[in-house]
Formats: sequence, structure tokens, C-alpha cells
Amino acid sequence: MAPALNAVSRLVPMAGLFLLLLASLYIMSDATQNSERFGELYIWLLLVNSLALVFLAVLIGVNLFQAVRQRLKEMPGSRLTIRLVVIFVLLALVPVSVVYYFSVKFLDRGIDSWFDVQVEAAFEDAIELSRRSLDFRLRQALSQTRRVADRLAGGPEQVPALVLNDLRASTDAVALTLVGANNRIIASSSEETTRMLPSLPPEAVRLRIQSGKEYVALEPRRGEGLQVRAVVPVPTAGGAGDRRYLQARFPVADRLSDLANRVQKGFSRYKELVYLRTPLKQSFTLTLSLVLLLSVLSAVWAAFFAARRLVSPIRELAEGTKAVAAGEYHKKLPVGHRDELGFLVRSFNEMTAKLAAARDEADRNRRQLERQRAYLQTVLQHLSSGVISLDADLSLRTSNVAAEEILETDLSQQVGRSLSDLSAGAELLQHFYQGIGPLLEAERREWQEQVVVFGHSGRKVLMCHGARLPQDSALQGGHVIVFDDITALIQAQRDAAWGEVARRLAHEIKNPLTPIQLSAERLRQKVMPRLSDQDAQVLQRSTHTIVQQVEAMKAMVNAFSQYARGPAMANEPVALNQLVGEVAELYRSNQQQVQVQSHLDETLPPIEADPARIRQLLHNLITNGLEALQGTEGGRLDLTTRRVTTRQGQRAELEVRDNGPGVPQAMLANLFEPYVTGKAKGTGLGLAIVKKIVEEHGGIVWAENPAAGGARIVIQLPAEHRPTASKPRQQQERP
Amino acid sequence: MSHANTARLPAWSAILAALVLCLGLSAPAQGDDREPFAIEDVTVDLEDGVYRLDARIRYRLPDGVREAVTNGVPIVLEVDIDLLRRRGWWWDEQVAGLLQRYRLRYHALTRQYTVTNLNTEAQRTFPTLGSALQALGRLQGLPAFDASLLREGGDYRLRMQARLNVDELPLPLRVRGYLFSDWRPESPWRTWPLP
Repeated sequence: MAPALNAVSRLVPMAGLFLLLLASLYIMSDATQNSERFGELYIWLLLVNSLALVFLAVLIGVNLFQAVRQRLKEMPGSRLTIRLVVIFVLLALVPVSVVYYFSVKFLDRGIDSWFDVQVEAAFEDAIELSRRSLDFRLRQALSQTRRVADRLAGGPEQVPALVLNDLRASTDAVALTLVGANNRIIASSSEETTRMLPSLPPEAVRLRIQSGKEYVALEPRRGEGLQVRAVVPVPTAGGAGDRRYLQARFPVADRLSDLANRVQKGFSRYKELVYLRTPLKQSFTLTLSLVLLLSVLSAVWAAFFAARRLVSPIRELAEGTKAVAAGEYHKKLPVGHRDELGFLVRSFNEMTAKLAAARDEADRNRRQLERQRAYLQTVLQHLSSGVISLDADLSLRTSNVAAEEILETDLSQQVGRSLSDLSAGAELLQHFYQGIGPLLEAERREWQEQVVVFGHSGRKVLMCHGARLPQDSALQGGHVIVFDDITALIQAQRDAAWGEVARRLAHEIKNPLTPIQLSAERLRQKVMPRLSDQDAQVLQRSTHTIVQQVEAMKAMVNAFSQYARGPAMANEPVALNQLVGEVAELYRSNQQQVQVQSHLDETLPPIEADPARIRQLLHNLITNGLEALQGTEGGRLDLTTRRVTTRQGQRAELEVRDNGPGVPQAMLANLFEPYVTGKAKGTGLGLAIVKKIVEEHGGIVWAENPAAGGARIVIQLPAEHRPTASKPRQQQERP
Repeated sequence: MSHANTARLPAWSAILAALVLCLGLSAPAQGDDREPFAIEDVTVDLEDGVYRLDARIRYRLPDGVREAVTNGVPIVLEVDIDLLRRRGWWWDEQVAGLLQRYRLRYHALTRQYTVTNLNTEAQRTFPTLGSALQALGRLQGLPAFDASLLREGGDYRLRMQARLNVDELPLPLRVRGYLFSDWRPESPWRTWPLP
């Protein structure tokens, strides 16, 4: 209710002022017509009203300034306020102006209609008639005065008052005065004893007398009546220089005087009114204009007041809407009206309350989601599996710490880049991409793949699980890939399997060997003496062969045991070139006439390795090469070392290439598994041991059939300065 | 008779008058020809303990006022005479004031202009407006102030102004009188030291 009270407190003084002004205007209009009652007040009222109008005008000016300023500031409701004010003002101004125009017109005509040419002429005639009727009295007075003057003329200058009294008695004059030079009164005779000094004729009359003329005129008497003044010169006996004159005053008959006075009064009043017509009209117009101005200005003020009052709830609504748009839902608008606007405000309040509730609910949900997300993030970050997500264009979106460790790349800096872009820079990623790229593009819902990559710490086997994300998820048909570094696991499994195989093999084979050897020796001891020399020699050779072969088999079984046991590595800096040269030299001359040549890169970095194992690795590779070249005319075996620089660091590469028939395609995939061999003889362990040694050194090995023919096996070993190059492998070593 | 008039004047009018006086002193002493009314000559004599005043005032009615008079509108002319005592550091003190008021009116029937001294109700008639104004403008032996009002050693001055009393005009003309100086003819104040 506060705004309503405020409005009333503003309305009451304005209404009071308006009523006061109305009253003062009423008095003013009354004063204009009836000057007796409020005549004295008129000018003050005019002043007060003008000041009030100025006050109103200033008030309106302030209002207008505020309205225009609000409009310029684009404040809500300002446009509507101005429009309402303009409408109200027009509604007030038009009828008031029409009334004003016609009022002024009527005023003009109305006042003019009071006056009439005929009435004016009648008044003129009446005055003339009065003058004519008094003319006789004037002539009579003049002749009487003249007669007295004649009696005095030619006499002595001094005339006693008594003489004059006598002369006056002979006329009906009320006063006779004889005036000499310098307006000196010579003698005077009057009926009125109270009058001390007779009033002398005005200077203009005296001048006329001095030029010898006579003067007679009707004069208004003090009070109501009329009198006749006659002045005639009275020459002296002496000469012309001494001018005397006689002034006589005659009464006018009371009745005649009354009548003439009444005519005079009427005429005078009429004349005055005619003359005052224009100023009177102006006064009326002024009053009317003040009324008009007061009405218009009050209307304008009322227009501002009403417009404000109408617009204020709308402005509040607009401000409330703005606040809601800015997210301020708890704003409550005051409900001050019981009309439709009040209903609107109430509805608005209800709406904001509901919005606020909905917003709070949404906030709660969002917070919950965030908590869940944070939880998932934490889980993901602490997962030992690498997790990355890609969008539909195979650009990286998210990754966890494990993914960065496994892929050896700071993936959090690479968000948004496509996987192919990323793989261009890093070999590990390139292998990774090559491994999973086709699967990503195959649009399968879920897939699983084992990918081999070569990183800082050497060869890694990654078990990758991929899944397509649904189309309506945030990544719109992207992928999520979960991968684990299972290198150690596989290694451990293999080691375990091979250890077991070797142990059992050794056990199973070793057990019957000793009885075989013992049996053969016993056979020789028991049978030899009974045999002829020839037979004894045969027996001797056979048992010798049996014992020898059993010894060989024992050695082989021991080798298996060794493989299974995996003796500790004795790592030291090794120059690969030197080892290659030494071992190649051993095979330079062989039975198959194969040319064994080594091409050594002088810049090859030293590697951290066990030289005995590297030697075995070289023996196995060359032996394998020579075996592959069996039956090939003009066989060649080239051993080439190379320095390879990758982002992960320096590597030493060894390539063993032959010009044989190449590795059969079916075998290429698992060439390095034990007992995979294409040859008639051999343990099938040669390349398996190669692979084992390479892996023990954190290296990578692969075989391929080059387009030019033959086969090649490539080994890459990390250069020496990799401090932890083979550490993980060593930990997995069995004691 | 004359001192009663001082009571009629509000206090601020004295201050205003003094202000006008200050302004008037800086104006040329002789009546300006452009002024409608002008006080042309003043002599003050001390006779039998009464200061008597002889003065000549030139009345030249503006056309509008003249027309109003010839149309029978009575006008009141005033001669305001103040006795001031100068105070060096403050407004002059008005010791006494005399306001001579005359009503000038045209009598249509007799074609005479009557001049009534409103202080004494004495009435004179004149055949022309000029002669009436001339007679009005001649003050002779006007008893202005008693010498007993004056204290020894004071610096006394007389000042005088002739003007048309707007408040006595009929209402419609009064508005003009307040708004237009042509309808409010007045002479500048003139000040003389007392002999």
C-alpha cells in the first residue's frame, strides 16, 4: 500500500493548490466585473496566479525532463509514460482550446454589444441640449457682469468693498471680485462668508482678459452643482497698462443644475465605459487566459501523474522481467492494485516463484551430475587402464593419466587434435593408430584388438577394447577406447609356459638318458669281450655314438633348462658393430659358399646389453639365414647396422637380409614363436630365443619379405643412455 | 496633516525609496526631457519654524493617459516629499513624509478640467488640460515640515517625486499601469539638502 499512500500524499497538495487557484481565479473574474469588491485584490491575485502558473510550469518542466531522460536511458515504461501524457494532454487541450477560442470571441462581441452608436449620439445630444439650456444663463450672467464692469469702468482704481456689495445686490451673482494688476484683489463681495479668499481664474483666462476679451463659462462647483464664472476687463481711467478685471460667479438654478449634472454623470460614465472597453476586454481575456493556462497546466500535470500511476506497475513488471532474464528469480513485485494489473503482478510473482523452484531443482541435478562426473573422472584417472575418447572425426576428446603413461604422450595438451595428426609426430602413436585405425573406421559397435607398439621403454603390447558411442551422446558417434599394457603379462605368461615346457622336456628327456647311457656302456662291457674284433669295433663305435648322442641330448636339455631359468643378465655398454663384425667373421667361410657381408654404420650408438646374449642372438640370426639359403645358388647374407632417430630417442638397428625364397606368408605372423620352423632340422628355438633376447633388452624385432625378394629380419635396440631401458624386463625375470 | 501619510507607507517602501534615491543621485540632476514628469525647480525656505516649499513640476502626460483623461477617466497625481536624515553607514532614516494628491478629471458638460486637491478637497477648474497641468505643476509656499522635527547637527535632506498613482486607475487600466511604464509615469527622485 506504500505507493498508493505516496500517490495520495502527492495528490492532496496538488488538488489543494488547484482549488486555491480556482478560487483566486473566481475572485479575479469577479473583480474584473465589480471593481468595488475585489478591486484592491485584483493585482495581487494576478501576481499570485502568475506565480502559481510558473510553479506549475516548473513542476511540469521537471516532470517532462525526467520523462525525456528516462526515455533516452531506455528505461522501462518511459515510452508508455510519454505516450499516455501526450494522449491526455491532447484530450485536455483540444476541448479547452475550443472553449477558449469561442469564449474570447463571445467576450469580444458581448462587450461590443453593450455600446451602440445611437446611444452614444443620444448622450451627445443630451449634453448639447444641457449646454444650450444653460446658454441663456451664461449670456444673462455675462451681461450682468458687463453692466457692473461698466459702472466701475473709468472710476478710480481703488473701489471699496461696500460699493461692490451694492453692485452685487443689483445682480444675482453670489460673488464679485475686482482684481487689479499682479492678481491683487482690490475688492471682493461674496454671499459666502466662510470663504476667505476668492478663487481667481486660471492663467489661461487671465491672459484672455488681458488681451481685452471677455470670458464666461459654466464650471462644476465643489460638490455636485454648477456655477457660472464670468470675467470681464474693467479699464481704469488711467491707461491701458493698468488692467483690472471683474470676476463674477453666478449660481445655476438647483433643478437645472441637478438635471444637467445627471446628464453629465451618465455621459461621463458612458464615455469612460466606451473608452475602457478595450482594456476591459484585455482584462477579461487575461483572466480567461489564466484560467485556460491553469486548466491546461493542471491537466498536463494530472496527465503526468496519471501516466506515472498507470505505468508504475508496468515498469515494475518490466524491471521484474529483466531481473528474471538476468537470472534473478527471487524478485517479488509489490502487489498494490486490485485490478487487472494487480492480477498480472500476482501472476508474475507466481511465475517467478515456479521458475525459481525449477531453477533450484535444475541446480541440484546439475550438482549431482557434476559430483558423478567428478567421481567418474577420479575413477578414470586412477584406473590402470588407459582410456581415451574420440569424437566422430577421430579427434581426441578426453584421456586419463594411465592413457598418457601408456601412450607416452601428454594427451591433455592435445585435446581436439585428430588421432592421425597426433600419430604423425610419435612412432608409438603411429603404431597405435595403425593398429586401431581400421577398426575405428570399420564402424563396428565393439571390438577388441591387441596392438604392438614401440615406445621409450621398448616394445609394448596393448590390449585395446573399443566401443562406439551412441549417436545421441555428447560426442555424437565417437569412440571410447580402453587399453592395457599387457606386455608384462604376456611375457610372464610366455615365460611361464616356456619355462614349464622346458622343465618338463628336460625332466622327461633327461630321465631316460641316463639309463640309455648306462645301458650302452654296460652292453659294451658285457658284449665286447665275446665279440670278434670286427664286431667289437662296430659295437665300440655304436655305443660310442649312443653315449655321444646322449651327451648331446643332455647338453640340449640343459640348454632348455637354461632358457627356462633365464640366468641374470650382465648388462654393460656394448658396441654392436664390434660384435656383428666378430660373429660375421666366424661365418665368412662356410660350407654353403654363402657370402656373409657386414655393412656397419660408424655412428651407431652404443647399447646397454649382455654381450654373451647378443652374440647368441647374432649366431642364431646368421644360422637361421644360412639355413634359409640352403639350396639357393649364390646365396648372400647382408648384416647392416643403422642409427635410427625417433622421438623416443636413439636406437641401434640391425638388419639381417638374405636373398633366399623368403618366409612363407603363413608363418610370417608367428615366426618368432618356439617350434615354428620351415626347415627339416633345427630345434625351432632359434628365432624364439632371438625374440626373447631382444625383448629382454627392451627392443623390437620383426620379419618381413621385402618387395625385392628374400627375407629380412630387423632388430631395434634402444641406445645406451636410456637409463631404465630394460628394468621392467629384469623385474619379470625369474630367479 | 502630512505626517499621517508616513504610517500609510510600508517600511520596505522607505528602503526601496532610499534605493531609488541612491540610483537617482547618480542620474543627472536636471530633469531629463525624456522623462514624462520632471521636478524642475525647488526652493525651500524656513518661515516661522515651518519649511515652505516652492517647486515647479513639469507634467507631460503620455498619450495613453491623456486619451484616458479626455475620455473622462479620473487620474490621481501625487507629489511625494520626504524628509531624510543621512546616516553614514546605514540607510537614510525617513524622518517625515508628505504626500500631496490631486485628482484631475474632465467635466464633459462644462468642457472644463477640474483639479481637486485630495488633501484639502479644494477644487479648481481649467478650460484646457494644459492649463490644468501647468497649475498642478506649480507649488507655492507649500508648508512641508515643522522645523521641530529636526534635531541639531543632523544631516537632513529633502527628496521629491511626482507620479501617477496607478492604484487609483479604474481596474482595466490598472493592469496596464502595472505592466507598462507608459501607464505609470513618474519623475525621478530629486534630493536637496535642507538650508
